[in-house]
Amino acid sequence: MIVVNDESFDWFEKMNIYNLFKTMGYTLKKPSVLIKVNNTVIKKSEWDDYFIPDNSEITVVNLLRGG
Amino acid sequence: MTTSRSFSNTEISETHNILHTPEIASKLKKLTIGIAGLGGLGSNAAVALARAGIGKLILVDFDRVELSNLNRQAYFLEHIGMYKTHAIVDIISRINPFIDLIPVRTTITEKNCMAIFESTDLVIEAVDEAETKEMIIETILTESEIMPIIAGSGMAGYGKNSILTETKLGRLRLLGDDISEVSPGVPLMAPRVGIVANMQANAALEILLGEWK
Repeated sequence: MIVVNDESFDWFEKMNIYNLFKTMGYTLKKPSVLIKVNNTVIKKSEWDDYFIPDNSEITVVNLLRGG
Repeated sequence: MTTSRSFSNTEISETHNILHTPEIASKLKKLTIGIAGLGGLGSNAAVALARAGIGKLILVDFDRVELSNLNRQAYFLEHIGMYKTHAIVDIISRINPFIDLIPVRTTITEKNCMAIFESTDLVIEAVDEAETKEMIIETILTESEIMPIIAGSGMAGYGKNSILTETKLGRLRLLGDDISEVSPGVPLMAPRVGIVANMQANAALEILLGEWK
């Protein structure tokens, strides 16, 4: 089980960031978001090789165009 | 009526001492804030921080002022065609010529981001593109262990004051409504962009001075 922005989701072996997005309903493969797993920022350049540990607390912050 | 009288650093500092208290004025004068992007968020946040009496601003942008910027950015018609770094220096110098202003005319990348902002006490993220926002936030949070960053996300359109909020995520503060992305029919407009810019400047003061009691 993992908790993403206070919502619980099932966890599975070798769950990666892309699996997480799919679970959350994102349609883009690499959306503009900030991801923190157990309070550590996972940079976009690390997404390909990163596996989410079970029982992780994850924060996903959407970043919208405009400034 | 205009005045041609020039004012001394002492006169401006003493006015800040009276208006803001000597303790706050003195603290602000010693601080450096970096502003990444000088569009609607960055130009307005820079002006607010200059009026507050920040000692030093590092002002970063690659672009020139265009007519289409004037619906929300701090510039004037006379600035069209100028680099935003130079235009904002012109504006701030007319508010307070004794602020240490460092214009950096460049595109912010993962490689140069920390070098640009390494001497700052705090960074305000104020760029337009979502991917660049992400890169700047990721870089500051992973390559510095202490530097706070204040970002803006969700400020397009008008109205809906009540949904503009502040989210605190460790060293990151996120200002905006988290839903209003600029898109066809949902433009960036001065009031809402200005509110978020001033929220960013306000959050910067709170982080650097401590919570107001």
